[in-house]
Amino acid sequence: MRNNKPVLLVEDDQVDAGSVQRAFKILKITNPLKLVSNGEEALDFLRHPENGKPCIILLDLDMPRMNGIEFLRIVKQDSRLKRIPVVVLTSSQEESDKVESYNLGVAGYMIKPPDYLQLIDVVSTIDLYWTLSELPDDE
Amino acid sequence: MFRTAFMGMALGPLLLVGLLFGWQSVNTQFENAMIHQREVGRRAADNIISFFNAAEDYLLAAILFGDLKNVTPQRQYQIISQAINHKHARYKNMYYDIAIIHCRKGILAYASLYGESSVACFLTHFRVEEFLPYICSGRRYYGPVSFDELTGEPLMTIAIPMVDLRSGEVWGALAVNIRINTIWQIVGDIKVGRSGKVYVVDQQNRVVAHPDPSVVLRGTLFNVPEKEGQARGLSGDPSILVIDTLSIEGQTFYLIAEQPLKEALSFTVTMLLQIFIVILLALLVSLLFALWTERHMIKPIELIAKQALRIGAGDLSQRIELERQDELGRLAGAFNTMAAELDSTIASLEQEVAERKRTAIELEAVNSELEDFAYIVSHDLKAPLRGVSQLAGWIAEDYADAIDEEGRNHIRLLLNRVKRMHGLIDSVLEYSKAGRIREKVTDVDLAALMQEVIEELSPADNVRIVVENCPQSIAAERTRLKQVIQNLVDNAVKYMDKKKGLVEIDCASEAAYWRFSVSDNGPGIARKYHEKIFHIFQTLSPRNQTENTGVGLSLVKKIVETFGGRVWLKSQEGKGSTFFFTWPKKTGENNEK
Repeated sequence: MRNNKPVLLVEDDQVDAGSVQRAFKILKITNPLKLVSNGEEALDFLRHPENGKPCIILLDLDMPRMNGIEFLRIVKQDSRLKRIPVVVLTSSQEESDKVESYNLGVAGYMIKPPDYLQLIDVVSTIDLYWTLSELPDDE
Repeated sequence: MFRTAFMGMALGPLLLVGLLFGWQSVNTQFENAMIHQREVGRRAADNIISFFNAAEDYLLAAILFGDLKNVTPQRQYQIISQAINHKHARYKNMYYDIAIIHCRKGILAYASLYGESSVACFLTHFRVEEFLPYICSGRRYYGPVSFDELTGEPLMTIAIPMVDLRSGEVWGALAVNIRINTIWQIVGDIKVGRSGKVYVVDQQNRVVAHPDPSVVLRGTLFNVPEKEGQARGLSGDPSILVIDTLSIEGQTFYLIAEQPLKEALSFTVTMLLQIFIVILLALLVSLLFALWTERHMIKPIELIAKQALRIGAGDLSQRIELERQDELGRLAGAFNTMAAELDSTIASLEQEVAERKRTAIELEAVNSELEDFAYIVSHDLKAPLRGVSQLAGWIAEDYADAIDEEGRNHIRLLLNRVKRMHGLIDSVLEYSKAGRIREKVTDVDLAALMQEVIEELSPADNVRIVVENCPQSIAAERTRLKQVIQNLVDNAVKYMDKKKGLVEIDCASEAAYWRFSVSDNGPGIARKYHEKIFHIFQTLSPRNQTENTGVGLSLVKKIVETFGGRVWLKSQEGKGSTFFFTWPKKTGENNEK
């Protein structure tokens, strides 16, 4: 990523989370990866500024308590948080999910590939893109 | 309106008849009266002329047989006295007085009805100077009517010249004053209808003869109208007058047969009166009838009409109260029955609709449930698969040295199976959606669709895909149509075993359907499998040798049959296969989710 701010990974599945972590290791991405398992925990993390604002949020949609869409609705209303780019990382190919996500202003929508190696490609692409792309400077 | 129509119907003809009849009758009666009057008048005229002839005849006879020139004055007197006092009915009292006059000597003899014989009397009654010139030139003289001052009766002087038989010269005249009142009997005897009469008017408009003597004696004047027909009569009343002109030796008399108009047309008048009464009665009757009809027919019809309106407006609760045995009663009964039937039919229809609605709602709910279910199932089934796959991968990576060739093979197979499971889940989800989810029917650009399919498939270089005879666009649900074509073409490409592969997509138009066909020159399919291959999860090659989930053809069949089409194939083993399917031109319903 462009800076060294943490990357917030919102994902409830252990294995999926593990594979992202593994990908970060293999790709030697230096940003600290912060894992929370649902929308509520994510909001909690974001609302404590001592945690530092993440440079990017990787968001799963299907989670207990507060799912991805609900989380997006809240975060994108929050003037402090809404500019953080959100990339959806989900297994859902449903058109409705895509529509809803983009309606709420996500920066990207990636399907979790069943193949582990393909996942590494996805993470690499995200890292490359968000290394090149500019981000606003807010604190 | 009904009432007036009725009355009009009753009265109109009557009035018309009355008018026509009246008009005709008046004319006819008028004519008849005139004819009658003319006949009567003629008769009277004849009689009057006879009378004058008779008067004249007598005188002529007297002249002829009397030899008055040569006889003695006494004899002369005797002869003329005889004329005055004649006993014969015909000549009785015909002459007022009579005189023998010599052209030069003057009066020779004179006798009158009243016995006078003096010359003085004679002179008062005869205007000798008037007729003498006539006579002495040999002409007869008829004088105008004069009225006797004593009696008031009308008199008329007639003088006849006397010729000397030997010399042939006129020597004198025999003059008489005829009593016109002798004619009165004639006119009096004649009947003209009931109150009509015949009378005579002289050229000085004096009535000289009339059935009523007093009329003459009064000296009544009458202006004889120029034209006969309807005019004011002697009495002053409107009458019909027929005028006969009698000319007697220069004296003109008008013989008038008169009949009061009222009497002449009495028949007509009576008739018209009767007709008028009948009209009044007809009016009354028609009014009564109209009222009766209204009550008996119009009111019930109105009742029925009102009921019909009520039924039309949706109110089926009312029934017509009409206790009658006739047609209207039956009509009312029929209406009531109809209302009752409609009521029950509507009730049962409503019930059915309610049931159907319930069923539809249930169906809706079930569908919705199924959809959620399918989505959740596929999603939740896939998640652990992914996990397995990832973990297997990590194990392979992290413990590569600890695993031998066989172990690595196992892991490979494991991963394969996982992939297959993934595909199966997707296929099952797709299959379940195929029947349920409908989209909007649009005009699908077939060329573009085919292009898409071909590009997405990215066939190998040795396989050529050709599209022929396809219409520009058809109305269909795009996704579904694409799925069908995609699956068929995909199969054709996947199983291609020839060096030069050719896949032909063809279209044909039938009455209600489009017929598509996808032909390939692949391995072909044996007839015994033609039915099997459409079953879900059915493949013809071993499962681990193919990437095919076996859902493609069953999906095609399901989709096509949902739209009311058919799918079948023709094939020759070794040569190739052609898959046909029909797609309806008109989609009947378009179910929304």
